[in-house]
Amino acid sequence: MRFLVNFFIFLIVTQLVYAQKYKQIDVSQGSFYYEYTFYEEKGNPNSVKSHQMVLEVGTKCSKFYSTSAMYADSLFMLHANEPSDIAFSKLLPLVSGSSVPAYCNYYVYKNYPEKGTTLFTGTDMSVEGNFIVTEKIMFKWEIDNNSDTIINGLSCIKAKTDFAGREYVAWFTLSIPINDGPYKFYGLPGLIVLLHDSKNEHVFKLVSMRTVKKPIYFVDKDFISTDAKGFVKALDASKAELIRMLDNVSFSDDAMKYKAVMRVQRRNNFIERY
Amino acid sequence: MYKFGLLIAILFACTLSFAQNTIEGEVKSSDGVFVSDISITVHPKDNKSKILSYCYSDENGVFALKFDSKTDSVLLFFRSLQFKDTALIISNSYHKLIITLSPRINKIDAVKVASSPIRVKGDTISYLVSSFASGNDFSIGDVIEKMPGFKVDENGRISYQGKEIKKYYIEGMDLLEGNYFLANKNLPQTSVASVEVLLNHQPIKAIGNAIPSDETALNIKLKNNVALTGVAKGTIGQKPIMWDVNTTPMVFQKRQQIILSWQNNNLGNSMFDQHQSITINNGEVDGFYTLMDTYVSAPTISFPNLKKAIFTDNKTNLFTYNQIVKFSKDVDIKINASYLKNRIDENKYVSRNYFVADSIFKINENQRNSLLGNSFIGNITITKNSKSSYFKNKIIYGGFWDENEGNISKNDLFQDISAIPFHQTLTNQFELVIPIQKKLIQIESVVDYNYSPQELFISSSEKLFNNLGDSLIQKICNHTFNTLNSISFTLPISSLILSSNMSFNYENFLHNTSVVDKGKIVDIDSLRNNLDWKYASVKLQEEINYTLKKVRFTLKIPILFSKIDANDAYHSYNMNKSFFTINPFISFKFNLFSTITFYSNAGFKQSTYEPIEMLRGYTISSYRNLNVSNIDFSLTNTFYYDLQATFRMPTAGLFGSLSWDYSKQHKNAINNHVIYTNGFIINNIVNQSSIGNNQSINSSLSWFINAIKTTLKVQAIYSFTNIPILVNDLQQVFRVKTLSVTPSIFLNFSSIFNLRYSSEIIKSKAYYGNLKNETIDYNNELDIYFLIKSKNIVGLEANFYTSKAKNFEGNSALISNFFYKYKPTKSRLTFEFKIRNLFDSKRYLQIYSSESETVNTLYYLHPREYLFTVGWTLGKNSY
Repeated sequence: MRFLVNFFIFLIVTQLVYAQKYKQIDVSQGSFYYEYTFYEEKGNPNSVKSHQMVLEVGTKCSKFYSTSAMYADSLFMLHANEPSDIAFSKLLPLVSGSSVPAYCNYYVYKNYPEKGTTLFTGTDMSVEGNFIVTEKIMFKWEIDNNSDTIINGLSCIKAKTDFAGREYVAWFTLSIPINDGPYKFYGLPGLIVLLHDSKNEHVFKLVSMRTVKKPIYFVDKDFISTDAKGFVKALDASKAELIRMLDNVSFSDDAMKYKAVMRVQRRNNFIERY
Repeated sequence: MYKFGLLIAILFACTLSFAQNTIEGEVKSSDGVFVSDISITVHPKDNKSKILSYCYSDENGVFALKFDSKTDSVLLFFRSLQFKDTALIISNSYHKLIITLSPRINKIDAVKVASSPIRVKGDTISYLVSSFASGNDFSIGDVIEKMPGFKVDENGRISYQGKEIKKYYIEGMDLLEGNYFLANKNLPQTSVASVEVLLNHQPIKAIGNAIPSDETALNIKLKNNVALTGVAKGTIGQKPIMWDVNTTPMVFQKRQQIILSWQNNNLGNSMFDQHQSITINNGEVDGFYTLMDTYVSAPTISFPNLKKAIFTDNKTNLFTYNQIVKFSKDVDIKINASYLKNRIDENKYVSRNYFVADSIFKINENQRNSLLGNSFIGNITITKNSKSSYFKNKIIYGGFWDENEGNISKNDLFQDISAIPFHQTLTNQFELVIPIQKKLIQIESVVDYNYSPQELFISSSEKLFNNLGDSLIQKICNHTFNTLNSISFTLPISSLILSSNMSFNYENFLHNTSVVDKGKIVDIDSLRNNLDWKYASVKLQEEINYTLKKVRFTLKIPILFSKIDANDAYHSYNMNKSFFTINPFISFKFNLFSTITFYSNAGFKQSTYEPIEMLRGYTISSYRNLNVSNIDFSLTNTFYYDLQATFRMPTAGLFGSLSWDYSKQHKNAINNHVIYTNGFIINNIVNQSSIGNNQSINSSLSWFINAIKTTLKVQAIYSFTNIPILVNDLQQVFRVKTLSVTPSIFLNFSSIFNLRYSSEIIKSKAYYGNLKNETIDYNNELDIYFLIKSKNIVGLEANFYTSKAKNFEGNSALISNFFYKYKPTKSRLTFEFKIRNLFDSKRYLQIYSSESETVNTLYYLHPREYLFTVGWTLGKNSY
């Protein structure tokens, strides 16, 4: 398992060093950390995974992505001006132990490049294909004034919406008057503190926040432009490529290899489904 | 015309019922700049949690809201991170507003989001220490005790969900092995970031997932900047002079860890738990080889339930050095050395009731005991733990030079007893695991040698033997050599794991005893022994382990061929016996969801009597016990069965466990206690069949309520035991039913007030023939702390104990300590003033029942004491 993690870190660091450009687009006023718990396989609670994501909210736009990618990106910024082979050798040991799960390897920029636009950049499972999706999403929220609760000490109100093939319940707080939330979700009068689909297969829960000001970067790569459905299709198609890559990797025993391939094979539950 | 009129009426009715209204306008800052992204909500005037409509201002500061409301006025809220919240009540009609917002000074800092104190990632559950710690907690052990799912017993052993932890790592290194109480008690909690529970933990990397593990380990994660930590503190008190010194520096680096400790006190802290520990896990005893073999004893010190009572006078000195050095990623060398010199003086009054046939026989006596424990335990361990191989060799030395004295006085009898149970042990433990492709080869070897020259001096006003003098010396010299060697092959085939184990065990037990009277060895064979016992066995064990998704099944069938060759020339005793035994074991594990796990084990075990129970001549083991055996060979058959269910929802802070254990034992030999009216007892092992059984139900539930930072715990144990006993040739069954319930609560919600309350209720019924004894103990502990401006802590620690027993008067005791602690800001120093035994309680009575006696012990407590302590936390963090 450790080997697999290192394998993906290697792929990610290679990506970081050789094909990325960083462009500052805003300054974060607050960082909101969400625990994202999701089923990799539809309907299978044993396939549950958990990963920490961060929402960086600036004065104009926001960015939602994996905290592992956040640490890797910030490290890369330190070595951005160095030759790629030196940067590579310095980065690899530093990011060891912080891989990004396949279903969290994306960046969501809201109100960028212009207000009302949601820009999604995602990487497929083989970490070879980078895609960009530009959308104008209008959520139809239905506020349930009869349901309120306290989550992590914050007074929250319930709202419902449908998005990309799932019904969602969001709990937002007026105490943090930010028109934002995890993933592509926004459009409520306060920050979304807890968001889950009706089957609890995708759950985002706010766990902490920080107010340190820091630049928000747009991570530019050689993107292939597509729409949201196109990305989900590409993600699904990349399973075959990843399995082929795993097949070429030597494992200490076949059972481990079989498990790794089966784990990839069973992934069929990206947050968006069409 | 009719239709047109109806349409008008419907439109009018709709207008009335919906009463839709519009509010629009612009939002600007105090310097006149129009501002965007302001959250604007409309609420009913009297209910601001109900949202009628909402919107955000656009880049020109413009907003427009449409809503339906029948009320005459509404509440309009403007919120943003940059500006102060602004609210206004306006009439429920069309408005065009220009709103000016004032800047917010403390932006989102004003909103606090509590992070989850318990987090789960795979098989690791992390407890955030800061969420459980309160102002008065010093060590990490103080905080672990409050965490749901954990139990820390009075000896410092940690259990998680009813199971003792297998490893106690600090930053992934196993420095102290089973002796972790040293760190648990002295590592400042302020140096620790989180406590990780590693479930299904396999410490040997070469085994990895090849053999599934149910073990639980604990890993202490330090804060990032902690390399040096620990404590240095000194306490001084009056009458004539009391002291407690503790200097325990700790170094935690990437390549090495060191814990050094010197502790010296006469405040009643024996510190034995920091010197030598024994952990029992899955039937395996860690620390077994350094256990002291005791063949003679003076009256031992018994510790009462009253935890905060100080009833002994002691002088204790502990020095311990522990270091682990990593030579590479996988190889480390470890040295653990500990020296303890502990003198305890105890003064008590004991009233003892023996159950003799259908009557009770009573002895009352005063005891003054003085025990000197003097021991050194050291070990050197080299370990290589990599995926390609595992190697561990540990050399252990234990030296015990105890000298115990007792002075017994009753009506017309005086006895002076002095026991010198010297003991030395040297052990080498070797373990090797080599994975070859999927297969595993494991080799284990233990070689253990023990030497115990022990003596018991008895001087009595009443003769033990009519034809001997009133001062006797029991001399015992024991040599034991033991070696256990095994090799096993493990082969995983898909979901099956097949394992074969072959082991060889050899033990030689040489036991020489004699009684000395007036400087000469008594030339009576019945008072001598010279037993030479040789035991050899070969064991073949087949094991099948089958895992299917959520279910795991294990079957072990060990077959032993054993040979005993024993002789004692004094008693013309010669035994040569070969026999087969079989000890099958079956276990079952089932995971229901991710929250509930079921375990079940069953087995059958055959064992022989220990050689010490085969002595044909009398030995005097203590001031009132003479032991002898009349059996040649005996087998004990034990059947055991247990069921356990554990439940955990870490994110909700909820943990529970429920278990039932049952065991039945059939023996062919039994100890006949012949009790004489002067209080002497002859323990004579005779051939006689007996059946006993034991069952217990154990349940625990703990819940951490994050919103109010409170931990609730409750544990209930019910046990039922039937022990066949033979007293004065009459066999009877001693039955004991015990119910204990232990609720506790830790309140930590307030920054100025903490409370810890625990209660223990033990109800015990003992039946012996027609005799019945019933006791109820209530032991309540209450600790209250007040924090004043975080620099001052005022606390009261109270322990209230009551005991009721049939045929005895009720008894109660209150022990209270008061303290004031001052912690200067940004300083690592702490000053404490403490009054122990605030109400100056004098005495405390404890009642104890066993299969042949009830013992009432009256302890004399220390009077009120005044103590002053200066403490200094080493390293960067203050406490």
